[in-house]
Amino acid sequence: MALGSLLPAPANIAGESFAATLPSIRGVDRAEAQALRANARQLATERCIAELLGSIAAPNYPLRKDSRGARIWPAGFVGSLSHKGTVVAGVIASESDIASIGIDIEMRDRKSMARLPKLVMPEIRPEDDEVEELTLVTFSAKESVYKAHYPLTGERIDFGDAIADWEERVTGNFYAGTCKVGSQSYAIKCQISGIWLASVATPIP
Amino acid sequence: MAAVAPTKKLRRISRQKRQALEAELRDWLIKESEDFDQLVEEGPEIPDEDLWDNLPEIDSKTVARSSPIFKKHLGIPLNVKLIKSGGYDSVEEAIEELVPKMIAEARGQKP
Repeated sequence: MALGSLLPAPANIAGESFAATLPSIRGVDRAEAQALRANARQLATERCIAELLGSIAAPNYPLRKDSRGARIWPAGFVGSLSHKGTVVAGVIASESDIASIGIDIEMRDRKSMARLPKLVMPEIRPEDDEVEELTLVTFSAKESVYKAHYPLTGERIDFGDAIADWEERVTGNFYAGTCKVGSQSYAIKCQISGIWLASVATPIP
Repeated sequence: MAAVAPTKKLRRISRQKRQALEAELRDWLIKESEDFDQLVEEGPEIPDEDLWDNLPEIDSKTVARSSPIFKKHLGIPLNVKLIKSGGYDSVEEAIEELVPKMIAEARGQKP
């Protein structure tokens, strides 16, 4: 996944696919399978966090969550985590390089995104070309914006609070643009690679 | 006589309406999982990794897509700010968390 290519400044990246740690899913009861994956994901997330903290020489930093579930990164650093399916990814960067950061990974599955545009992404018009892909890309970018906005402002936002404007689309696999939340703008980038999609949001000073 | 501001009447959400919302939400979230069963049945050529990746989960994207159900029963779309970060472990957890909060929102109260 080309998460690194989406970052505007030096940042350390970590993550993995933990699928190899899981047994064959065939014949496994659904509830048991979900529990197995949840447990494996938790362990993979802990490894990802350990690697990120190790990369900034803070391996023993107790990464806690605030009352709203957001991670509290070491002083002077910003970070973000995301997971989907059997993939976990995270980034950490110096606050002197990036004031805040949010990442999101999504998977292009069989589920239609048709319900989303009208209700949570009013800026997408139903007649837009490839509305399903545009919806997923915008959804992911807004998830990233949400993760970048909250540590910066303490404010929780709605999909409707963030308005995305995609300015660039290269070969259909890369999107770049801006997303406004009130008076704060974010640079948003999204890369599609096969069935996977990664997005990054960083505030524009 | 000084004017008295009228007390804001909170919209009433009946038990039947709540149960109807929960039932339709439950059915929809469960139906969302049916594609996975079909994927497994498609044959042994589907790699295990793909199946693990597609194992249904009640993530924010899935829950956001349920918004029309809230709109139908409560008259307002799902307030996505209420979706728990990281998603939910089960259909019932999602219902138990979201329905009361959305009902409060629909009644004009802070969730």
